[in-house]
Amino acid sequence: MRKIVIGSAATVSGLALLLAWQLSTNDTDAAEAAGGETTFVGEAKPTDYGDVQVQITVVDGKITEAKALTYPNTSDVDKKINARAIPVLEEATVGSQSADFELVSGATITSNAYVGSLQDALDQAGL
Amino acid sequence: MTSGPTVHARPTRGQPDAGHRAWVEHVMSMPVSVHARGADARSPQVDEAVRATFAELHRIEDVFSKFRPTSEVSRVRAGTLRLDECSEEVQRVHRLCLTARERTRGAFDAWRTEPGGPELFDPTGLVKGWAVVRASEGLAGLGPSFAVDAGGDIVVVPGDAPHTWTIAIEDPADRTRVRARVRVADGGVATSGVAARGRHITDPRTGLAAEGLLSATVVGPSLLWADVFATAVVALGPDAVDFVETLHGTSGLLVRSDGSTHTWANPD
Repeated sequence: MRKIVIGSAATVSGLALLLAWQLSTNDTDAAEAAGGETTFVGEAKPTDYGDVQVQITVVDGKITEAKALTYPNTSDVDKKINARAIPVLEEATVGSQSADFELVSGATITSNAYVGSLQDALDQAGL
Repeated sequence: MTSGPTVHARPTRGQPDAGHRAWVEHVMSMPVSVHARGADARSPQVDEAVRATFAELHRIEDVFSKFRPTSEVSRVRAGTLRLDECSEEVQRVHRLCLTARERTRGAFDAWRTEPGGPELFDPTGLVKGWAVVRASEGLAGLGPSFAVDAGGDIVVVPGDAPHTWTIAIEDPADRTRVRARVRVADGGVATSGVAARGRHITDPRTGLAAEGLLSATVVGPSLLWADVFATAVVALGPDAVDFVETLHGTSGLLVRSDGSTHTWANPD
């Protein structure tokens, strides 16, 4: 796993990852998860208001979900700001790796820490 | 390293796809990602060109950021630098801002960007698109097709092998959902909204915050102008339905506050 420093260019490879292992622990789930569903949690990245940590779910080498496990909520104002900012990044991340669409256009998103933690999760997934 | 209980940092057996590659970096206060599709996506020349793209964005940020006291734009705003003393690129952007104000009948106005704020030169809303287009020029002629996603605004640079990018338009009312898709082989897709953090759009005609539209997406040959028009459309609000009919060579989507939509596709 490469250590990514925020602000440095980092490589993220494409769609054709074949996962070597599966998350499931019982036979029924393993059968359903023939494609292999795996989650990767990015390193928590600090911001002025608290940590941001991102989790991605990978199926058949594609990201099917990306969400922030942790984001700053130190005040009502911060909660409001992040309630708007975080879901946009989740949607764009899913879109950028999905078979149905490659990129997502939306209102401007900003979160330095989100990018850092996301990059870490992508690196762990080998994507 | 801080990590949650479900970390799975194990090596993977699969090989990366040689025809796909992506880079991500934080610049100009937003995440910018570059995506390549094509046989040469992993060549050293491509890697070098992408790094140059990011370097150019950082350089432009140094010149144009209103948040950096030493930037040319900050000094113009402070009154310590005259426009005719600025670099040619700042003067060029200044002219583009004048053109944008005229072309949008004042709905995009680089001198009226904050409700009740001072009428200072603030090219931020135009510089983003201009910078991304300019920085992406070095990606042409390398083989792969590139898409550069700058905080949700996207420019596509075609390559030798044709690749059409499928781009989703997010639903501004529920950002976990997609409202539309568009396929783009060349050109730009820009979306502006009133709700995104740090992106409050003022209607220059009233000086008040724009309302009536949740978002506007403009697809066109130039990301710079798609972005300017998307910003202007949000400022215009529901009046924009007439305005977008004048945008020849563009298509797009308006999402109103009540969730209803308006789409258009105008020939050149």
